[in-house]
Amino acid sequence: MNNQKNNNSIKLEEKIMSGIKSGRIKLRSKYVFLSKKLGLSGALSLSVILAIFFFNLILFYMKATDNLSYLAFGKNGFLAFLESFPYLLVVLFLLFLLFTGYLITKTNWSYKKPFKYIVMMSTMIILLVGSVLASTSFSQRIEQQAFANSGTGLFFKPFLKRGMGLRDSGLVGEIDEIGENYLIINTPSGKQYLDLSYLLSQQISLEFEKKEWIIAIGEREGDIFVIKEIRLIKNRECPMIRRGIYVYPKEKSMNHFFQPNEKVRKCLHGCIEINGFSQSCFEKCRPVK
Amino acid sequence: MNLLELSDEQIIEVVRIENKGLYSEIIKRYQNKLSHYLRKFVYNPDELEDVLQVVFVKTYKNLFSFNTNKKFSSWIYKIAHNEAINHIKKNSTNHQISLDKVEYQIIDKSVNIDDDFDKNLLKEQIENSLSLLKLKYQEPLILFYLEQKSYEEISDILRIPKNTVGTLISRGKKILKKNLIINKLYEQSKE
Repeated sequence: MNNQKNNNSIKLEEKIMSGIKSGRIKLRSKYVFLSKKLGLSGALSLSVILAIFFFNLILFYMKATDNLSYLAFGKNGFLAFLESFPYLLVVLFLLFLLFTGYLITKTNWSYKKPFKYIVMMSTMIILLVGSVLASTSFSQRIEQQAFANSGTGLFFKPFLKRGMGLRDSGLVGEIDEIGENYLIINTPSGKQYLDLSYLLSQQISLEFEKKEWIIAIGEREGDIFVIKEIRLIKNRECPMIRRGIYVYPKEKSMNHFFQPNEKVRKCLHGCIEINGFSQSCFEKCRPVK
Repeated sequence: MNLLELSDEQIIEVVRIENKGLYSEIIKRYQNKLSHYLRKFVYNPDELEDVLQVVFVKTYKNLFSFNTNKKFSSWIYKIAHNEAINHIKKNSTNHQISLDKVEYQIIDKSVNIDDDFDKNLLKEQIENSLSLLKLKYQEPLILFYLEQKSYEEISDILRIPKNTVGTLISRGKKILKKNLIINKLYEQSKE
């Protein structure tokens, strides 16, 4: 039996060595392994950087837009908060975080450490660096490039433009005109017409001045936004929306009516004086394309 | 150059750079050890030889990916382990572990079930229970008790943290002992 075993051993050794000597079995080049290693390190670094970057953009978005401000209205503002939430950024951040975790498990040193520990440590590092980055002017530069349509920041416009978009249940802007039962405000998407009649029916006293900034929650009904709750906001709140109005070139308005010319404005004012602030005035005065 | 004085890692350096023929020394050094290890997962002798051949060929082809500052034996065992898992996955039928006398004594001693247990029956029971254990417990138990590997080496071979190796061995032992006691009670009730 032992002889048989020895014979088998010799046979296997001879078989493999003859394959090596004949060149049938070849050593893989060290450059193959080197490039694999570099590829893994590169992908890991890129994934970490992108996870940090997207986390930084999430923080920046929340700080610079109206998203978090809606929570000041309590549960009534939650819908507007959800509507303005940066889902795309969050999804991409989570994807890169998971991808980072996956790539770490492929490295040679990771298996010596518990997986939970690695995930916890890498998440903490990404969150920490992302938070530090959010306190610098880095994100603002990205935003400026994105909305000024210049530089590499332009690629990130799809992720940030939600911050300045029109919403159905919330609104932020600068007061442009004050009527008896309505307000006209400037927003990055053009002028918005706000119906105050619900608030007035609740006998809530309202005092506004032109150029003041307001945040409101309510419902959009056609071209009018019916306000349910409104409050003034401080100068430092929603800086991205402020820049959207004053700094960046105007996008083509989603609804041409929100950039009325003099003729439209006159028609609208006349109609509101006679019929009150209603959707029918907007229908009547809407310019024909 | 006295081959016996050269470590595995030194031989690998030479094979990679100048003398490919020296790989036969690696085959000589590991053939029996790996065959002994793989036998726990690959029962059929012909298939065992095929798997062993694949292990040595893969090891040779990937020699440049081996870091000579690390232990070669852990690396080649890792390759063997991966091939064994591949083999089990391909042949999804339950594999039956067969222990030789020395191996059985090691397991018997470590599990320490009972002195008056029928020893012949116990060997069979240990083989069955070990075969039925989940792979995640089976692998570290085999490497630790039957291949005499340290926790550090098992950690390198199975790519799991050292603490986890200890936990899996301890849990695996407990499950094995529990299964053996249940089997024993079942046999006694039959009598």
